Amino acid sequence: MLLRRATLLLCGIPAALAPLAGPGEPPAHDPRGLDPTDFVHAVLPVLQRQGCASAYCHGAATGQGGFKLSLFGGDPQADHAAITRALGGRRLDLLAPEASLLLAKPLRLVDHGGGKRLTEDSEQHALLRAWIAAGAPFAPEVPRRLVDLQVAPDGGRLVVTATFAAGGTTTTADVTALATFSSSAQDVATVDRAGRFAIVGPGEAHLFTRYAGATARVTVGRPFGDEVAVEGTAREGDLDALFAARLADLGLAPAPEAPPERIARRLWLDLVERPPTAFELQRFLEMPEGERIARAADALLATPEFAVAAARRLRAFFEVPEVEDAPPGARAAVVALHQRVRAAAEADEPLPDLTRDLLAHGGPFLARREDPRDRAELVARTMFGVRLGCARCHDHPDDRWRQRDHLAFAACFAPPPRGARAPSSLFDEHTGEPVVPRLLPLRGADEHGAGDLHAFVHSRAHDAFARAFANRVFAWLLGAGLVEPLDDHRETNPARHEAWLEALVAQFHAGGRRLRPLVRAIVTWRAYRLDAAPEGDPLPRARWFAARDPKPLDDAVLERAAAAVLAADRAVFGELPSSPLARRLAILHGEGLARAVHAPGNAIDALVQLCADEEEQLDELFRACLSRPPSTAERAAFLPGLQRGEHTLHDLAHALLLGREFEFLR
Amino acid sequence: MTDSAAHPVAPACTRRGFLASLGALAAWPRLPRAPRRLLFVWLDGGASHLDTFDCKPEAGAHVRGDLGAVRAPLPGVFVSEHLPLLARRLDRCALIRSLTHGEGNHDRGTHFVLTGKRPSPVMVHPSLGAVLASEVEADAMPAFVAVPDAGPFGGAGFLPSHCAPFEVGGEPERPDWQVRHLAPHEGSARATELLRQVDELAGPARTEAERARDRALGQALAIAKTAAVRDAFDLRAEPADVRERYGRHRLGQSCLLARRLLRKGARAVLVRDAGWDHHVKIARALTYGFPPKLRALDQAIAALLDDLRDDDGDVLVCVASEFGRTPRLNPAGGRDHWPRAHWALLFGAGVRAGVVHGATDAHGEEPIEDPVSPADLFATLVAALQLDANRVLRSPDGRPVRLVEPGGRAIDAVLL
Repeated sequence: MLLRRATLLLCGIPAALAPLAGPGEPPAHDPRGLDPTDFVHAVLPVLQRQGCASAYCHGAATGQGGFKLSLFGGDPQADHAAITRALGGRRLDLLAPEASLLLAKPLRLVDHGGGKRLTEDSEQHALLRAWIAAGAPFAPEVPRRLVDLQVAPDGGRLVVTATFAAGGTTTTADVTALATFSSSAQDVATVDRAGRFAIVGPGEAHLFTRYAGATARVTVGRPFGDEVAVEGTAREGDLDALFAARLADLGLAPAPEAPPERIARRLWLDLVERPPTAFELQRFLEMPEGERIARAADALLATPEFAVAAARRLRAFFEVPEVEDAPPGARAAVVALHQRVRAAAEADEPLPDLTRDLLAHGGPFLARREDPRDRAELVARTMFGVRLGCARCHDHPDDRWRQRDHLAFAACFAPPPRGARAPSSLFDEHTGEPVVPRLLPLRGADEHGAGDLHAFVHSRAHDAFARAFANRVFAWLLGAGLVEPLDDHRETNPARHEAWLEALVAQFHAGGRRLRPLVRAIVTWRAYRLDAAPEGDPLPRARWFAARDPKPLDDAVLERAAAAVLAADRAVFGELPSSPLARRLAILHGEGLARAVHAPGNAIDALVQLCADEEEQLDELFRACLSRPPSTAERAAFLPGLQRGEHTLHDLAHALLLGREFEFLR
Repeated sequence: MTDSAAHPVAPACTRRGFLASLGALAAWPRLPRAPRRLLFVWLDGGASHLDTFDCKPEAGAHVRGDLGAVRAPLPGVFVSEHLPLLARRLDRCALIRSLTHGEGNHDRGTHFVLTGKRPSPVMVHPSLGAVLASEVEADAMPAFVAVPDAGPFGGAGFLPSHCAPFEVGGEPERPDWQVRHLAPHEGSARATELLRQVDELAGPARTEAERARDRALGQALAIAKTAAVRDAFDLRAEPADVRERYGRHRLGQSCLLARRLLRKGARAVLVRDAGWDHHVKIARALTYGFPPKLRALDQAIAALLDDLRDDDGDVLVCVASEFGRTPRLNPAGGRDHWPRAHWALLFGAGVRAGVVHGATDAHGEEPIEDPVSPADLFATLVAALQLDANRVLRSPDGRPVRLVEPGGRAIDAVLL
């Protein structure tokens, strides 16, 4: 452990290690790098690297051609048995290693459905042969544990170094020939099977390497090439300085700030789920430029409308079921839960106070999922932004989670065991033994026991809750997360701007782990104010948060926004169908919107009556719907028809509310 | 695929390959051939195999159940006496009686059978209709329609939104039913005319989400403008005697709408008939009520069989559900979930008529010959539709997913 921390500090390249169970450690061991008698570290990686254990080959649930390996090498013992003992041991010939099927098949000396996978002069082939010649053991006399994995570029090639512990000694070996490689962004950097990499485009890519269940990464790339001037240096916690410094590093000039009308529209739709009224917009524009966002944000965050919006977001974050979806027996409990979330949103309670109630054992939050494995996945997803699902069936090649982690975490959610001596009521399908409950081994988490779940969720040691939560709030306000998908935080899926996410996490803690201070920090940040990238921009600015793409309003916000513009007191769209075409038809041709647009005495009627002429009507209508006056082209297109009575202001209001600009927040 | 890769055989040397080459010759002057279409009739909840197409009249009453069986014109097949129309037409179908898997939960079984992929905790796979929709350029007519809806696993899964089925919704059995929102509401006609201009003046779509919205809007506006498409959805245009023949119930009218849509250009239709989950008094549930479940099935599928015989023959029909039901009646006189044995009924394009494939033991507990997995069934449908089984779909996280998962093998015996 000590060693692993030291290298982490030194290189800043985290290695995901799942140490193999090592029994008592006798001293002294062969110091050579790769020991061919070590099945797990020398043989299995060859089979994985050549793709033998993939889902489309021998890793398929039914194997391939009668030879079955565990998917991605998740079960070394079974794989060892499949090679050495299945088929009466016919796959190996210990006396004449060259005659072994395990060697002949991948060389395609005999028929092999998977084709030629190895050459005779390869290191991989030599390792397999040496292993068979040594009697095909499972482990050397003194078993070794992989304790660290490092990857570093050396010229145009990645070099992977593994550190093993055996007894009291540690050894290192160059395992590049046994490792697999991948790139997080093929358009920035490519890497081949041998670890040779090339920078092919501007930007940043993470190159990952995997070996024997461990992962390590290195970050490579080249700047986009914009000249970016930076004033001063980033101070701790100064989000704006951090923003500028990072984009300068990437050589990506941020888009200019959006016009104030557009920023006002973002603030109102994001925080209170409706566009600003003409009056609010006017006041916003009149405020001094340097302080208007902060002042408007403070005012909006204090409104009951924000509490409603925040409660809805929190319910979505934590997957609280809708009342209509709750099973009949759980309806009252779900209603109570909604009230609990609403109260937390109104009082801006620290998030741990809310999640404690959500996680209360046997609470309605979990009651709708009976299977402890479902509960474990739900908690991992909502509290840590982690997808545990893959590990239900197999160890994931891109993630640290092993099947046994999944099972042990699930055991934390199983009902108490009947027998006093059993550790839990969940049983391992393979061994038939009851599973010992264990919290998730999140990176940084020290305790791997079954302590208090809630304390573990908010532990600063791993900070997984804060990272997932800050990322979700960022995505709500900016339209995409720094980590995407939002529930897929893992080492092989790093944040686009790690420093930003860390800064937001610090903000979250500094604000007492409350929602409002975090929201305020983000909306007053420069990243929130950026305009769209100029048309024809060759650089993917929006993807790097150096510009803003339009963000679709979700159904609930769309409904509330349209109702607010019309001053309608009834549902405008109602429940929209989920199938995309049916949804579009319902928006387009729904009776609700048509009725609300033409309802006597609504906001459009008021405009017709209060405005001096058609020109002013048109101006005010655009301001009410889109928070901006009509462009010259729009005035030319719509004013004559309005004046001649070819269409009414109501028709135009209807069309604006159906329009792309209303549905996508710019 | 190992075997075929290892022992390459010239296509014309197999029976199927030879027939296919004959077919290619015959079709020579009118290439390219029209793509085949799919109608999937989904009996949601798990139709009992022992009370429909795999009756065991010689078993004890606790297995046989309370319903009688008749001999069908296929060797060794006994069909419920409540399916007389289908029993007579069974020689025009291929009946797979040995469908089997291990998923006894509705959601998991449904995912497995409809998508041909084992249920995964991390993603939903696309149903076959969505795969077909992914191959066509959208025009006004939706490529994939679900009547009345697709349920959680009959849709696009991880494929993009334009592959998702158009769910017509509502209750097609009602005499006055129509698909909602196909044409503008009285008050909104002028607004939809202005809408194009509003969007154009607001600038071009910049993101994929905006383009998807524009695409769906374009299709919605095209539907409103195209009388022929709206007419395809209008069941009231069908003659009264045809509507009677299909039966004035959910399943009958849904199948009729499906046939109408397929004739008018839809590539795939999924009909989802709910209510086959009979844990209590199964005999009563299947034969009483409004309408009786078996009578509805009998009428609707028999009518489809008759109509499709007269059509072009490019429509493949598959009737199936997520699992069968327990061979022994439970104390409530019902049957519970039984994924180890159930059936699928295929007819139309690419299907060899008059074939029974597989059989179950004396109590209908397990297949005793030719077990067929949902992946095999899916592979068979893919082959009958002349799709490429090796096509690789990409899940959003970049994972390659083969259209037919490894291990899924098309059943040659039921294919032409």
